[in-house]
Amino acid sequence: MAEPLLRVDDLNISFHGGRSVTHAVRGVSFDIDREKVGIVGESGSGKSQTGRALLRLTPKGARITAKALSFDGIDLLAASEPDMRKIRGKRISMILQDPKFSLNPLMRVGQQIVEAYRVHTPSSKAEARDKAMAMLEAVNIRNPRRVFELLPHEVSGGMGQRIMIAMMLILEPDLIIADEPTSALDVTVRRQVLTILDELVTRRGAGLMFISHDLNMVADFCDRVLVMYAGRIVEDIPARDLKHAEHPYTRALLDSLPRLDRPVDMLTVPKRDPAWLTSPTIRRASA
Amino acid sequence: MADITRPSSLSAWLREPIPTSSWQARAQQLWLSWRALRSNPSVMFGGTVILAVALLAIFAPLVATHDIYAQDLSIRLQKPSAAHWLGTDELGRDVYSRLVFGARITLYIAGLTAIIAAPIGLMVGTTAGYIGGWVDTVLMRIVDVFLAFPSLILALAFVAALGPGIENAIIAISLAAWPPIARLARAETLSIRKSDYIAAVRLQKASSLRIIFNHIMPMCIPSVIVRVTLNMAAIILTAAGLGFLGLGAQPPSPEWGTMLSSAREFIFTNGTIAAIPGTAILLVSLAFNLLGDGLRDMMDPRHG
Amino acid sequence: MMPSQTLGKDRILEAVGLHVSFGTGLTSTVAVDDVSFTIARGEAYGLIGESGCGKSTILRTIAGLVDSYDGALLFGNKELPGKRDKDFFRKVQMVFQDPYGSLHPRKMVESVLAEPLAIHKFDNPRQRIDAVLEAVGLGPSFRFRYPHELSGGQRQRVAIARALVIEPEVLLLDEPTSALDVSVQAEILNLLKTLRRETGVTYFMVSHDIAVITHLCDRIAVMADGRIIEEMTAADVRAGRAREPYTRTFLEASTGYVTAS
Repeated sequence: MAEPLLRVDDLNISFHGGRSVTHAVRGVSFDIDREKVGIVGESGSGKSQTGRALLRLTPKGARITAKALSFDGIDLLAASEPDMRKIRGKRISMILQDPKFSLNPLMRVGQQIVEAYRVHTPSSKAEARDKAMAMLEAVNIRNPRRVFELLPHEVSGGMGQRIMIAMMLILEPDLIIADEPTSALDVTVRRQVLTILDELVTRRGAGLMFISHDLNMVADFCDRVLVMYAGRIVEDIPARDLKHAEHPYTRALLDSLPRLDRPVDMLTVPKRDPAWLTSPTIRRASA
Repeated sequence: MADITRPSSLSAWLREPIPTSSWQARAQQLWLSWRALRSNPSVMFGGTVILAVALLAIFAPLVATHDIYAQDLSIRLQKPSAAHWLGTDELGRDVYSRLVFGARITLYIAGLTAIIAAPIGLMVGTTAGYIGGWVDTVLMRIVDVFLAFPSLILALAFVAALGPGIENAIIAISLAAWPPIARLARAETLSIRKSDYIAAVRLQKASSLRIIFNHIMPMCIPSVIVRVTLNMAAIILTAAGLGFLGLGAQPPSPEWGTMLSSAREFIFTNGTIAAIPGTAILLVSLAFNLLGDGLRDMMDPRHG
Repeated sequence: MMPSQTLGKDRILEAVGLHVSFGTGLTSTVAVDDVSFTIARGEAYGLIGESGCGKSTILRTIAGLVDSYDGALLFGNKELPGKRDKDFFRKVQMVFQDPYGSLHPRKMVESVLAEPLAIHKFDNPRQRIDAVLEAVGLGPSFRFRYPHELSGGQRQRVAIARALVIEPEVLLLDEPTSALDVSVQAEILNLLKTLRRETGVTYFMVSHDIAVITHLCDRIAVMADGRIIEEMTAADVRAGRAREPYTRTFLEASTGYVTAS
C-alpha cells in the first residue's frame, strides 16, 4: 500500500509549566491521504494543538514527541527550522479561524497574497500580482481588482476568510490544515466558504485536515471524522457512517445537540466516563 | 452529615479546595498571590531591599551608633573607620547614623506621598472615566493643567509658595504625583465600563457611586499600584532634589538630599560623604523600580 | 410588519415601531428599523438572525443600556420611561453571552449574588443565595469561589443565578450558550427549560443558532438588517413553513449539515 501523505503515529504534546505538567495530546495516531479528514472535539480535547504540531507552531513550552510524524516522506520531527520554513506555506499551509486576526491589518489584502507567493517562488512583481488576481477569482470574489486594494478591516468576514484561503492556497500546498475556518462566520456565508474550499482542495488533489467543534458540519463536509476527547482520538470513522458511531462519547455529542428534525424535551448531557481516557481508538476503515 | 474536622494546620486550611467562609476564600487568594510574588526575582530583590531599609528606618535609634546632631569639629571629614563606619561629615557628625535616620525621612516622604496621591488620582480618574460628559471634561482639563508642568518645577513652585519644610515638600510632591495616576485610572475605567459585568450591575440599578467604588476601583488598583511603585523612584529623587536645593527638609535634618547638598563643597576633599547618600538614593530608587517592574510583569499577562 | 397575535394572553413586553440608530450625520447607522413585537407573560420568545442584524441591540435597548431610541417600549402595558427605574430592573434581568466577561473578576459568587438583593432590599439574603445556587445546579459550596476558579458552564450558571435571585418576571438572554462547548450547552439549555417551568418566568432570547432557539422558544422572529422579516412558531420552523425567501435561505443554510445521524 502506498505511503499516505501524512502519517502521525503516537503523537504526544505536553506543557511543562512550573510545577504541573499538562498532557494536551496523548498518543494520537492517524493518517491523512489526499482526502478531507475532520478532527472534532470540544475545548481542551487537543485538536488545535495536533494541527499546530505538524507545522511546529505550538507555544514555547510545548514538548512534542512521536513515533512517527512524516509528511510525504519528510520527517517533520527531525526537520530543522529552515526546513520547516520551506514546508510552511508551500507544502503544508494553515487556515485560521478569524481573518480579523490572521491578516495583517496594515497591508492591502492583495499585497498580502502577493507576498505569500513571492516568499516561496522567485517571480517578478507583475507575475505575482497576476497570480494573486487569478486566486481572488478562484475564490469567487467578483471584483478582484477592487478587492485587491482593500485593507482587511474593509472586507466582510466571509470575504476575509476567502482571501485567507486564496493566500494559503496560492502556492498549491499538498496538505491544508484548517483550524475552525468557519466558526467566526455567519451561517449563510459558511456554505460559500466551504464550497470554495472543497472545490480547490479537490481540484488540486490536496489533503485537508479540518479542525472544528461542529460535528455535524464536519460530517457533512469531510470524508472521514476523528473524534477527540481529552487529548486522545476516541473514534476514527468514515463520515457517512457517523450515525452508526460506536463510541459513547461520539454518540453523546450527537445526542446532546438540539435538532430541528428530532425535538426532545431535555437534551442528553454526556456523562464523562473515566474509561474514555484510556480506552483504545475505535477505528472503522473506509469502504 | 460528615464529621467536620479542623484542618490540621494553616497550610492545609489554605490549600482546601472548597472554602467555607469568605475569609478563607480571601486568605487563599492572598496566599496564591504571595506564592506568585515569591517566584518573581525582581519583586523579591526589590522588596527585600525596601524591607531592609524600612527595618533600618524603624529601628534607627537602636541601629545608629552616634547622636546624629552631635558635632565634633576635631574629627570632621574622616574616612570610614572602626569608630565611624561610614566616616564623618563636614561638622564631625557620624555619616552612618545620619544615613539611617535619613532613611526614615525618605520613606516617610515616599510613603505619605503615595498615600495622598494614589487615592486622589484613583477617585478623580475613575469618576471622570465612568461618568463622562462635562464632569470628565472639567476633571481632565484640571489634570492637564497639572501635567503641563514638569514635576520638579511644579513641586518647586508649591514649596516656594508654601515655604520650605518636609510637610510642605510632601504636599508639593503629592500635587505633582496625582495627575498621571488620574489619567491611568481614567484609561482603565473607559475600557472596564464596557464590560458585561458592569452592564449587569447597571441592570440592578446600582448607583454610580456604588459602581465606581465597588466595581471599577478594585479593577484599577493593580495598575495604580504598579504605577505608584514605579513613580516612587521619581518621588524620592524629587524629595532629594528639593532637599538638595534647600527647599525640603532643612539642615541639620539628616535627609539624604540635604546631606548631598552640604557634601557638595567637600567632594574633592572627601568624596565619600557625597557618594554615600547618593548611593543610598540610587539603591532605594532602583529597588522600587525593580519591584514595580516585577509587579507589572505579573499583572500584565494575567489581568489583560 | 404584521402585528403578532398573542391570543389574548397577558402581554408583558411590547415594542411598537422601535428604531435605534448609532452615530450622527454622515456616519449614522440604523441598527433597528421599525421593529414591533409582543411577548406574552410566561412564553419564550426568540429572536434570530445573523451578526449585525440588530437582535442584540434590541435586547440592550430593552435593558436600558442604549442611550436613545425612537418608538415605544411597553412593559406590562405601560410605556417605559427613557431612564429605566428600579422597579423595572426588579422585574427584568439579563444573562449575557460571554461567561468569561459577565462576572466581576474580583468578586466571590456570594458577593455577586448578595449585591442585587441588597440593592432591592430583599430579606433573608443567606437563604435566598443558597436557594438560587441549588436551583441552578451548583449548591451552597460555590458561595466562596472566584470566577477564575470556575469553568465556562459554571460561570454561566452563576450569571443565571444572579439574574434570577431577585425573582424577575422577564429574563433577557443574549446568546447564553454560544460561547460554550456542546456538552455544556446541553446542560445550560436543560437548566433554562427547567427554570422556566418551575418559576413561570418569561424568556426573551436572542441567538444565531436556529436549533438552539427552536428547542427553547415557542415563537421565533427572524431578523435581518434591523427589521423583523417574519415571525413563526417553533412548529413552523421545524416543518420548514417559511413564507419569506430570506427565512427560507436562512433555514436552509442552518440545517444544511444536520444530515450526520
